[in-house]
Amino acid sequence: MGRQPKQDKDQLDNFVELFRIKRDMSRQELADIVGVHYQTMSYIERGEYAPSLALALRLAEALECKVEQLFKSKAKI
Amino acid sequence: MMAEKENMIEAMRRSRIESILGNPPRGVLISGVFRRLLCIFAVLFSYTYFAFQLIPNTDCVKGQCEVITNPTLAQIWLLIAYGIFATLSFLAPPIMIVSFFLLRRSMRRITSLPDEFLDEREIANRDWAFRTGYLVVRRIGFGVAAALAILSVIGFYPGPGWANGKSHSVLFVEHLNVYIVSLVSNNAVTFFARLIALLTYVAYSFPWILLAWRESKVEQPAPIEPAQPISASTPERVNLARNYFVKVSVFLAVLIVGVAIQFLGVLLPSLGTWLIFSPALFYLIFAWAGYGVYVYIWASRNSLKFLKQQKILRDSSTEAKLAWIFFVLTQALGMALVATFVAIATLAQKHTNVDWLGLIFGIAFSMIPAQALSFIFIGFIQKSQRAD
Repeated sequence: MGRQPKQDKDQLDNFVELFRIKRDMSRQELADIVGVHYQTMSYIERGEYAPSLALALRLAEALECKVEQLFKSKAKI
Repeated sequence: MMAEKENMIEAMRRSRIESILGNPPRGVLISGVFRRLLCIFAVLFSYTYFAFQLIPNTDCVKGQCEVITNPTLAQIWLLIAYGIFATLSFLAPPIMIVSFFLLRRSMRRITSLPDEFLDEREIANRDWAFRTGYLVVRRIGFGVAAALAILSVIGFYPGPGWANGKSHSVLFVEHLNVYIVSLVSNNAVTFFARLIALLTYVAYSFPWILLAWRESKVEQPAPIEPAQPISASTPERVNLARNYFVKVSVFLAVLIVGVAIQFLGVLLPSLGTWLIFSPALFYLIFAWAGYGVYVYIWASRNSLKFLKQQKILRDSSTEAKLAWIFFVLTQALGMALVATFVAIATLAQKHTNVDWLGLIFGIAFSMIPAQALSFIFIGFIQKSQRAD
């Protein structure tokens, strides 16, 4: 769901924008590569939407990094 | 036969998908602020309309109004407030409908495309909006039913408290009954028709409102225009004239249907006078006039783009010249119409012998053939270029 996560354990630190800028990619370009809408990329970068595992893997592949480099859980187990 | 039917359904589905993908919302329709404004309009005017329906019908409403010769300040303010409220309530239905259609157009990609054309967030948001919309309508329905059930029970069974030989609860239900009777006394059919129409509107529009509100958080970039938007050889341009004639046909069809309904009302009085000059007719006139203005602006904008392109291409054909001439004539008539409205506002009081309404209709209807001729010649330019 595209809602703001309500619980701390659901929140993710998000480094997608950082990696995208490092790769010199526009938001639209990255959205086209991973097959999502431009707005979805904006929501992911703003931390308002936590992507599915499949999408996170596609993002990692497109940005040539590991998933755990892109997203980090704020909660400590 | 079965396979043919399936093919037809598949072709219709494909054509719908192509139409949605080929015509993404543009301009203000992709603006987050505009989407939120539409949501606010839809909600506010729904409440206004609903609240106005809850004003009891007094004798004054039924035309037996007592004349107030020396109104108090409070009465004057009350009358002003009622006037504003009544005007807003009168304007509410068309505003609600237009807001809904604009929201629908703005959100059509997410709500109407199959899952394979959407990403996971869009699917989740769409499902959330429709599920929440359904839950809200379900709860409203349950809430109203439960409240009425409780009221009907306490109307028969005395609760605590006693006044005038009756329990408070019984008295309350009696007064409520009088109030509800006063709501429906003017025209019960119209009252319930309005309420049910409003509930239907809420059921239809609520998911779109939720979705549009949520999708407004991030601005969507404007769709990328093709490098050479107006080319005589593109299929888009071939369809321009056809699109215009479809729009004009709709405009004229609404006029014919509106006039036919009025004639029906006159010829068959047994159908009731509600057909003639009903509020629905006024809404139809507003919508029709608004649509006419939209068609005129749409056609002017598109034909100007096209004709400018023809000039760039240095097209000196007779068809191009005639298309230009009729385009200019249409614009001149458009300006004459605006000037007539200004004249009505300033001179109509002094010059009562002028048939202002006739003048407006005369100019407005002469714009149609002028613009149609411009489009016919645009069509001919297309043909001559394709022949080359």
